[in-house]
Amino acid sequence: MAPNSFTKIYLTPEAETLPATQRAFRLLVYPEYRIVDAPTDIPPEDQNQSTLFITSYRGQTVHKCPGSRGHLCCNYLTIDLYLGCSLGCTYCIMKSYLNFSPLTVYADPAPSLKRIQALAQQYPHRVLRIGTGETGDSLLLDPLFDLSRPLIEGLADLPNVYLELKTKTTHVDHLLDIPKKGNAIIAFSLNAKEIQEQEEGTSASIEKRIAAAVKAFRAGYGLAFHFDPIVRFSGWKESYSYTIDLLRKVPAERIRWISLGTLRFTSALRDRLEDRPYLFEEFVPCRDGKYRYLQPIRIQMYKWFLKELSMVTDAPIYLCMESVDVWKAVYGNIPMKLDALRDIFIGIPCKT
Amino acid sequence: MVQSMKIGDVASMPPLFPFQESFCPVEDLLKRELYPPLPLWERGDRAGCTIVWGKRIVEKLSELPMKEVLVRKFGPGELTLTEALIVWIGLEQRQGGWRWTELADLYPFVQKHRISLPEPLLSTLVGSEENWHRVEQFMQLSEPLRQLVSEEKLDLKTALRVKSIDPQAIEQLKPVLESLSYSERRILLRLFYEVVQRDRLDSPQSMDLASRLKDTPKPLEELYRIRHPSLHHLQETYHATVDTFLKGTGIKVTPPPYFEGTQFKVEFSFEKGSQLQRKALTLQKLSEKIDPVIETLVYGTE
Repeated sequence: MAPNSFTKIYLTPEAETLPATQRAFRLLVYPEYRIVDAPTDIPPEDQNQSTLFITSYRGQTVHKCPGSRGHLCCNYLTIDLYLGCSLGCTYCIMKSYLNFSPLTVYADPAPSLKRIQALAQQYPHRVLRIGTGETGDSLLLDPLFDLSRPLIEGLADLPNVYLELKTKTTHVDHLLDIPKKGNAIIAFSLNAKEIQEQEEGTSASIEKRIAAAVKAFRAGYGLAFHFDPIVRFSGWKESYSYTIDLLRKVPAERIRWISLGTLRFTSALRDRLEDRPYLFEEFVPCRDGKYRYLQPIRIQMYKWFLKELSMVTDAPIYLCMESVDVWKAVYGNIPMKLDALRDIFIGIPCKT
Repeated sequence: MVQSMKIGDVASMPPLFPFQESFCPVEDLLKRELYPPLPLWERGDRAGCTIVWGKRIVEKLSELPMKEVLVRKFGPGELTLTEALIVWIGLEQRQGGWRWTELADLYPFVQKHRISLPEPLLSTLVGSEENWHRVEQFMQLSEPLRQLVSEEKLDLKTALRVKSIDPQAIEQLKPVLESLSYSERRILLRLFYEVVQRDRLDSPQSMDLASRLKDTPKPLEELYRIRHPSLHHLQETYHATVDTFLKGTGIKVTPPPYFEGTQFKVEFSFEKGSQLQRKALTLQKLSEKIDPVIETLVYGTE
């Protein structure tokens, strides 16, 4: 899981002097790079995930999670620090649109930081959950660029802001010495051991992720875990039980939330995915056009997870991109009517 | 230089290229203006004089009461192999494009002789230089899949997806495939492939499955059932309970598509109050029975 597995580096002129770029170049022992005005100037042969593109340019500084038609969204806010990921998970949604793009680093987090600070002050009584792991792994390249640090430090004094750094790596060491962490959360995607080993490319093993979580909580971070995508395969219960059992190594009260999401994909993504055994299960088209396991099967899977996880933690557990019907079947109600989940699901009533 | 030559002399010359030329009907051949002077190439090597294009025409002409044919003779150094191929492609004057099998013949030749065709000509063949890889992909297919693609009964994308299906199984499936529409054929092959993969069927087992489908009146439905056993089970459960209960009542209750969601729809029509009363009574009876069915179908509760 090398964070520097790229073979070419391009950057826009203004990115050259940014502290994050300077730091990365120092750690990479001053690599060769080329200046381009825009990503479109990168030659076609380098338009792939082995190329690193560093820029400060960004359009919108903060996004709302796009959600999924007909499915309940947790109104998460996202900041794009890293676009693309080289871990190589076989089910990765980004394969449907980022295959021919370089790994992009938005090396100037200041505009996003300012926007979040402004939103937090504008809505002091709302919980703002913000993540940097929507379009890439939050921490895969972070030891090089250290872009999470200014966000953690800059949001530490805002009690209603929960910054979540989501990863499948163990790259937490560079963040441990930050003195004020506020509500910052290091979150780990978790899966069955077999799925990690066979389908999650060069990601860290589940045991190593939990070990990194232990380091993170000892340093004062909150923790979150995401069982997503949950994959159904022969022996899935035993395998996920093993992962759930590993959660006992972290203090239950430090887990801020856990999310669950069964495997889902668009037909476009399915065409891009190589054939893997898990794709030969039964999937049906749902209201958002994505394919999921049959509803009764999903419901039973979620119920099983809730039961197992409730023996380990009483942290809020929510479903990612699920329908009202599934919510009602699993929880008896929609999240906005559940005390434990209401704060998580109330969004901010404005454009980001 | 254009000259007239005895047909017998030309007919004895070998063709320069191994590619099959377009068929030319005899009646067209009699209208001499429909074909140009046939290009011949004296390459200067041991091969002697070869027919660059028109071998089939010469063969046909030799069956007719004609003695001579117009030719255009090229000497050593007057043509390169690339130019000769350009002449060949140009004289074919294809309006309807090229078949996959023809491209699969052309491609190795082009590769072997490192021939770079000019862009306009390449466009008529495969669209662009990069598209040659599609020909390479076609060549990787098994014979029965190649045949389906070249006969335009299957798209290349689907063929590539299912290319690991045992060729003998596809042969076995042929009568079924022939009976289906284009889109049904794609679906069937895709489902077949997925079942083979999921159940890790070996060659004899794939053949068995193909044979089973061949003998069933509705092969696509049967295969869908095999591919989606849980969904089929839900459909069967629904049919055995709700549909059976409502049979002959004129009431239709439709479950949510793929049992995704919880909204069941009721449809019926009536002309007078007594009819409506009967429907309402039936629905009342159904309502007393349907909850366990819904529990199973929608929530997965056993």
